[in-house]
Amino acid sequence: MFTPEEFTKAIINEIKGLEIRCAVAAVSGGVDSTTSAVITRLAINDKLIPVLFDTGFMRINEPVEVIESLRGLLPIRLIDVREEFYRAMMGLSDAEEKRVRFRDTFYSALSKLVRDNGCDWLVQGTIAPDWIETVGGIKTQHNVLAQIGIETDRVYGFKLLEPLRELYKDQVRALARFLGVPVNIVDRQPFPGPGLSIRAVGLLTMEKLNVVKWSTKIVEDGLANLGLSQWFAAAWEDERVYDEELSRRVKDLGRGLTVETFKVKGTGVKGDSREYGRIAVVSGELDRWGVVFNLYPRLTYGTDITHVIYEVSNGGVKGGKFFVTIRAVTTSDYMTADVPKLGRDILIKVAEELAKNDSVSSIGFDVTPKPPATIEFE
Amino acid sequence: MAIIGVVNFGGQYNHLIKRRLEDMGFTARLINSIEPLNVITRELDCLIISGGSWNIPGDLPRLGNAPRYVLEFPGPVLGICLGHQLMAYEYGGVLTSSRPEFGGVRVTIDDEDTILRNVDKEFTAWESHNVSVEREPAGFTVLAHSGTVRVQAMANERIRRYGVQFHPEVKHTQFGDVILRNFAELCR
Repeated sequence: MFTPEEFTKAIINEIKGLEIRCAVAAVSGGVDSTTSAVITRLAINDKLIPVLFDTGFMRINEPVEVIESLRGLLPIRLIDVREEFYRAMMGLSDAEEKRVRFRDTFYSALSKLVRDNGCDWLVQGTIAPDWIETVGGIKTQHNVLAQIGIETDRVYGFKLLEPLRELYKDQVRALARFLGVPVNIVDRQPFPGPGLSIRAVGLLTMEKLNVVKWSTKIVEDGLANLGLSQWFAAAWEDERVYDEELSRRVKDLGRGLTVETFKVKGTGVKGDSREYGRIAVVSGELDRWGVVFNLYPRLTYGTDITHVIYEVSNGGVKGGKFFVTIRAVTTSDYMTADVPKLGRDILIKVAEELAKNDSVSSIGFDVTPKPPATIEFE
Repeated sequence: MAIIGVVNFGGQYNHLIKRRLEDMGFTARLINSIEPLNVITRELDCLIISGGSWNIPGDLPRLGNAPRYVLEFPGPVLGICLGHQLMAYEYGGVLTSSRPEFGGVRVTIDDEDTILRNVDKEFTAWESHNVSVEREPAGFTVLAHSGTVRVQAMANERIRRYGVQFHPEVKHTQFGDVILRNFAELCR
């Protein structure tokens, strides 16, 4: 059974037994990568070089805030790789293509850094769900290499140290607390490796990325301190087509309910396999608010729909080309996730803030648990 | 100490079953279904056959020796999701692919039996399946149902075979730990 004390002791021993000239640790500020770096540093001290890549897909001010809050624990070097990432990623549309391209760019940059510093190891915060979902074909996590047969030694010139690879998020958090990682990092909501690039759903453009950055801040502030596990915003082109059959499936739940589907697709997980299917949006008046949480079985069972969104700002916004979705879930291990029973008022308040951006056309709330959706859209 | 084998079909929750059992103090080992039956029989005290993305019967050739484990393993066997469907199929039950369920579903207990002991009569279970069991095999009793699926749980106590359509290993399933523990205790 897992206890932070024993785990720490065992891992430090294991790392001390390895022949390490020096190791680069890729830290994002998330609890996984931070804890991996902290525990490795306990074993090899200054032979560890912790770095943070500013990919351009992080949240507003995030790189600086992370380095600041870990100042006492890890001497992190900030490395600006925004140009490289924008050049490699802008213009991509497919979810898996984005994830794979991000991974390749990430490791090319890391590989160079490891070489330039004369190191031979890379430390990263891979945890159990990362490789389970990648190996299982649900989605390519950016930090999974060895488990899918990529020989890092040959391809990238470093050996891979993944001290947390068998742990789940709740175990990592217990470990982080035990190791003295600051509370704001321990309880920080998870952030996907490819960052906001996969929350700018579909075609990746600077314009869409900026809407996502701006919306993320509003949603994170607006839904703070509600006990949620993860809450954020995603955006995509507001281009929809009406679906007669899907509309019929929900018509008894309110008055004048219509279901449209977006042009972009979203990732889901149905029956243990990945589904890259349509995203449905329900508009109209529900009999009562609670019904919103009963929409998803009607639209996802026996269809290719992976996410069901309820349009919160019905007709309230004009102009703009991006539909912004508020996503919030509760979970402890991120393998399954439920949608919190948020009230309509709080969502409308957040939506009103989001509507202030001229690029936004309308705002919705994702009401789909995992499964059949995934927490993210890509 | 008894060892519980978890047959790994690459489903995303397989590893989680091992973790839950270990958290409760049991010993669990992930095994590949290419292992011969005699090795499995020698090294393990009971078996859990879990989920994966395959459909039965179409993907049966991909399940290795798992069909034989279900029929011939001498100890208790618990089928979860795909494993539950495999069990129903191998013992002569009928499957359907027209009743999918995903996410939280209300499950009602019809007959408590061994694995559902100490579970509320109605609880929320987490599901992720396209295929399900339409009719249980002869000799099996239906233990629980949902609004969509009649055979959410089944058992044949005489031959110690148990099946659940939902995933007791995920945190969102109420009483999931109780159900896993009820089974694991049969292995001692």
